[in-house]
Amino acid sequence: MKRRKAIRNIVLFSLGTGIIYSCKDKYEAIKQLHLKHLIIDTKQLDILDDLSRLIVPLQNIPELADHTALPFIMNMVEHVFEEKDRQAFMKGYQSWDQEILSIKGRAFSAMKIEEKQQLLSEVNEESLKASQELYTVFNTVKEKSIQYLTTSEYYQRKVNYYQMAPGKFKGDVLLVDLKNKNDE
Amino acid sequence: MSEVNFEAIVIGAGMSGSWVAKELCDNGVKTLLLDRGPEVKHLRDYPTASKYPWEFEYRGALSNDHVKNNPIVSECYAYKDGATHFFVEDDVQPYTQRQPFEWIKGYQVGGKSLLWARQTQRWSKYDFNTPYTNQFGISWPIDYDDLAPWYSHVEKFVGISGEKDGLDVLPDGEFLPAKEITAVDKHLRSIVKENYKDRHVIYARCAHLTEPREIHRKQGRGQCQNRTVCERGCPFGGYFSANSSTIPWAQRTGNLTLRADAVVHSVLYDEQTGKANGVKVIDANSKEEFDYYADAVFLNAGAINSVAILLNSRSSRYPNGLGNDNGLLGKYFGFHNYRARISADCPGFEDRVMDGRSPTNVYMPRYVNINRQSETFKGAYGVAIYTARYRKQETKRLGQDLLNDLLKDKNFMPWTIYSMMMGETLPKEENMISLNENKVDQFGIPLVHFNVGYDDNDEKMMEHFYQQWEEIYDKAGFTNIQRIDTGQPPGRDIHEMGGARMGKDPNDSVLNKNNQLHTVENVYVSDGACMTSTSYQNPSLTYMALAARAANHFLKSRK
Ligand SMILES: Cc1cc2nc3c(=O)[nH]c(=O)nc-3n(C[C@H](O)[C@H](O)[C@H](O)COP(=O)(O)OP(=O)(O)OC[C@H]3O[C@@H](n4cnc5c(N)ncnc54)[C@H](O)[C@@H]3O)c2cc1C
Ligand code: SF4
Repeated sequence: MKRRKAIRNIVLFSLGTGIIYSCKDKYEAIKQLHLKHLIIDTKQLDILDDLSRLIVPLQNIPELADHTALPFIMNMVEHVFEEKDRQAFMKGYQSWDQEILSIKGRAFSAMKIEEKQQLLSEVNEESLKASQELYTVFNTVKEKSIQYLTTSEYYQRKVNYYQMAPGKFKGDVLLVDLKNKNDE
Repeated sequence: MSEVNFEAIVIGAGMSGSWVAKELCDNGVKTLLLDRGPEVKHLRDYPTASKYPWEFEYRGALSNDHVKNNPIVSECYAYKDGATHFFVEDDVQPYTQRQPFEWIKGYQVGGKSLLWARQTQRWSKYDFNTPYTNQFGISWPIDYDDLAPWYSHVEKFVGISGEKDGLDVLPDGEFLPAKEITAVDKHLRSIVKENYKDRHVIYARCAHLTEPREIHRKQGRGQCQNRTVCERGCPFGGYFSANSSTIPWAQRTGNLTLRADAVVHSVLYDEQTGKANGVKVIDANSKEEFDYYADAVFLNAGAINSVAILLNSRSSRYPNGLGNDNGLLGKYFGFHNYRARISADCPGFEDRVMDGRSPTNVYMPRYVNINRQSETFKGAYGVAIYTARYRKQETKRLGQDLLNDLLKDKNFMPWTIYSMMMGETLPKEENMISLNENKVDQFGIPLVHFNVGYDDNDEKMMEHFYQQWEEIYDKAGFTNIQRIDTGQPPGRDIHEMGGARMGKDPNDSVLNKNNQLHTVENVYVSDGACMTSTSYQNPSLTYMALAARAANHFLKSRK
């Protein structure tokens, strides 16, 4: 009972601060961000989530299978971005589906996965004639999804061999020796 | 000793004040150490020291609101998530200015010693002598030989990693072993050696314990582990901070009373004795006022605050500030010119990388205007040199292809080099700080007003640096050479100094050769405010040596 009330409060609070949520739990982490600047609905969240997963498919890394970069992306745009970049991003995702529909004759959300992939490679190659805001969304989602992965604990430890207190610093080592050491 | 009476009061528990306190307490002097900031106890109060990079919400970035509300301190490279709590936010102590000045502050027990980059180069005889001999300043009342034993004294306790380079432009000190340098550092060093007889690329001496000695273990400090997140506080005590070293040391003597959250308003002057007899303090939280009394007062609140406290210490004898008969208090304020940088790519070391992270770099000490003024500009500059090879992120593709690229085994970008001029600025009467008589802070203390700027000499020095370093880079085979002028205002160098300069003559200086006010001998100003000229080295080692020397002068004078 208590828990249900708490959830209702979150939804009400969120509505009050400009977010429209369905009751899907998928975006619980986004609800918890209590976004104030970014106004977004579930359909738009689905689009951004799709974009992020298609661009950097974290779900293909077994250790990160249950991770999504979306809350990180939204949090960064909400809090770290400057107002004008935040506005461009918001405008971009709010018109994304409609813009794709007018360019391709089919809304992004109605596309099959292969169609989405094809579309994204056109955007990636900058060959799609589209608005500045559409490109802002694509570039932001790409950059922040990459950042989410490359600053994750998994990546830092497994790929960057990060140690908090490495002890030694070696200024001049052979690249092959470093690779061999890391392979050990 | 009652609760308000002490033998000595030290204002400011940072880099220099903690040294005065240590020296006094070691010698049995009942000392009150005051700081306007909160207590920061070694280990206990380093909340972010062991946080992993991925635990920071914005992965090291600061929120846009935070930056907007703190445009000044946000310009400091070390003001990042995980260390912001050791800096002072812009609105806490506002100031006014005639020209842009960035005042970066760290108010807590430990002061900026928690935050510093730990670079510790001695001054040489040229640094002390050339302002006078090359006619851009008054004569220092001390020279290198006066300070050399105090450098040694401080270095042994602090722990300085360095190499014996045998250069008279940068005298050797008491060194622990150096850390390793990179392949490109070595290449640059040999190219410079081949081409210039008066220039040297050396390991930049730094306050890290590469091999702790008994004296460091006694302080409870251990070996530096090359974490390079020093500004959050080091759980190993691997670098010197007042918090890990001098303050707990002084506390163990039983002679120290440390009072945090104590904003010193002014120094109290006794018209009868012609001496200072204490300080007036405002509690930072309750705003209650207290007076504390002592035989001597040491000002170590950082150059700007020490000068401001003196200016605010008015009496009928000293209506313009304590010891300010000649009106020079606040004048000849100095800083370092850090605007000029030069970067390049370093092809040819593709098979070499670094393994780990180094908290230091390499360095070139001064090489012109040594015995006489040989250039069109006056003063000296040194150069901090950073070389690195970063991981390459292949981010062109999409989907699984992008993932494969990102997860691929170590791919590296080419080596790069980035060198920064550290320029001496000339002592000038018009570079000054004063009190704004129309505006006060939350404690009713007048705001500090800055009138500090660059001049033509600074521009000429930058041009010289660019030209010389383009030549050096070229000889080293570096490419894509880029001149950079950050355009930053004075202050971002965080090497504020002067304003109460030492001198031989009471008519043209504020302090004598022992850091005492010329006319109030039981007041010592033993932080950067005392500097007669700026030279170019990171100044804190010199401040600490001067502070220890001043404290020992007081000890001797009591015998
Ligand atoms: C990011 C950074 C990097 C740096 N790198 C280097 C470097 O590599 N090498 C180097 O030599 N220097 C470096 N510095 C500069 C160095 O930190 C300072 O030179 C040094 O800390 C000055 O010592 P101080 O004792 O004068 O002042 P601080 O260490 O700042 O201590 C002054 C203390 O006085 C207190 N105080 C101020 N006003 C009052 C008042 N009215 N009443 C009571 N207490 C007061 C403050 O709270 C503070 O704790 C760096 C600084 C920063 C921030
Ligand atoms: S680099 Fe050394 S001193 Fe700095 S935090 Fe790491 S271990 Fe401590």
